[in-house]
Amino acid sequence: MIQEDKLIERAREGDQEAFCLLARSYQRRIYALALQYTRDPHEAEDLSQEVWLKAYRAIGGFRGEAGFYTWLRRIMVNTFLNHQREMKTVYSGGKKVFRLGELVSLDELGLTPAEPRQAPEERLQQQMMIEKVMEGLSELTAQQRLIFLLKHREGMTYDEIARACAVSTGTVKKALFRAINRLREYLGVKFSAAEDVSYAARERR
Amino acid sequence: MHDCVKTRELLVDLVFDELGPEARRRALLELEGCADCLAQYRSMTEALRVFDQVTETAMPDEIYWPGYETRLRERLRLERPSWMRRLADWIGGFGPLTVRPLSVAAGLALVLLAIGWWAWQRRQVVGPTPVAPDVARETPTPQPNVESHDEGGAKTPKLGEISKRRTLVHPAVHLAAANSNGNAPSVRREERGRELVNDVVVSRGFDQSLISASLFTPETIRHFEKAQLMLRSFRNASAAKSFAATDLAYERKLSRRLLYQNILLRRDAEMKGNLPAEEALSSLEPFLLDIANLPDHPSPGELGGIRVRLQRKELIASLQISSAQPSAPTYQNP
Repeated sequence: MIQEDKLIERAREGDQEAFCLLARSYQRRIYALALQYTRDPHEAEDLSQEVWLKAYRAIGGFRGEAGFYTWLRRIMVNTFLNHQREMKTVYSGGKKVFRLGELVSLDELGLTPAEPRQAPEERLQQQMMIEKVMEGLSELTAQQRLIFLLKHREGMTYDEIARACAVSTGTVKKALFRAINRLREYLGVKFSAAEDVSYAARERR
Repeated sequence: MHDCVKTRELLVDLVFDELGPEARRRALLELEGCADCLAQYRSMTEALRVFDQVTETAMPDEIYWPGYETRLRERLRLERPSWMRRLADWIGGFGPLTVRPLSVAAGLALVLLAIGWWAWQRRQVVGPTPVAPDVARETPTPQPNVESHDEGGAKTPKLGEISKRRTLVHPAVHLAAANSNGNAPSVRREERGRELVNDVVVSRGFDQSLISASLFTPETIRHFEKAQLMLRSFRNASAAKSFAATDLAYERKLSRRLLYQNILLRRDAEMKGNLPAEEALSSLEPFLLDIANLPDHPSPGELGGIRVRLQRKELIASLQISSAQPSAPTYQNP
């Protein structure tokens, strides 16, 4: 396997093949974020590829001061934020959303659940859960969704997110609180106090 | 003394691991003392766990990725290398060009400025050229008082395609033409006029579909045709007297398909800097989106709202004009 540094060097010299190999290592991660951000597989592909195109254009300026993924993530966040602005202009508020599997079937998109031999009921249940998650995410604003994904998926700190999205850390915390509550609501996760006798003690250990 | 409000404020930090080890230990101790806070904390972590599980299954199959890579390669292939890289290649791998792009760009900008200044000075000295076209004569004059100024000018040539549109030219162009004596308008004024025409064509976007049609690719024109037919069908179906009989399933389905096509074409136009096409497609998109998202049994209000907006924007007529124009060959990046 060719080292990442070598691929970056070749990509900086304009080698598209090297860039594609580099993209292969991170494309699933970027796509997954785009999918959860847009909640639409077509748009997710479009948006994630937009990230790669921008990265390709900018790779000449990559100096290796930060890791490649850190650099790429900066491009991704900017692309997502631009997309958010664009959608705001076109759809004025972006309240209307597609739901995964509504416009095109999941099978058609290759978004069938990972296990092909699953029972139809199981698949249906999984699809319903996916829709619930997507519905929960669509209740958030694009910014809140992005903040949630950057925190939960990317593990960025409050400060890093606040800097990347040009908001205060208070806004970041509020967005996370709202996101997690929406998910609880849509996934129907409720716990009664009685169930949790020794939960905290276990966590502490 | 346990304070539920304070503890719950810490929950997000706790769930997302933003507390230091000591603060975390104290927070968990607090939770142990309050069943409600603990239940809330547990439901939060559980929601995240389920979220991770579910989103994992929502990822595409392995068979999806080769196609994804092919499409990415295709887009990269269409991508032109930056002018800096092309310049560097042309010079023959002149290293500093790619290493210090800013300083080189600044130097080049200075050279270009100097050339521009020289060309401008030279133009001032040379004066108007006899072959320069008269914008005032090529363009229509909607204001009668302006037209009267034009009458004294040279013979009016056959109106070109541009002049067929009634409100095409910015009034400032007419004023510029009216203020001149009609015999020897200065080249600079003419050029300003031409710039204004271009500005208007670009900024008016969809209204000027007749002009911008030459910028639409055959694919875009076909898309406009389909959209126009769908919108007509929607208008007729939604205006049916018996609302109960309104079945818009076909229009909704078609609208969804067109919406995807529209997004792709718009992005394509955006990438190529084709502003008229981009604006035209942007005007169409909200309608496609609204129709695609109509519920199974839409209320008369919802249908009426879309119909009224359609009428107000004269979208169907604009689409008809656009799709009726002969298309330009598809633009290819050299």
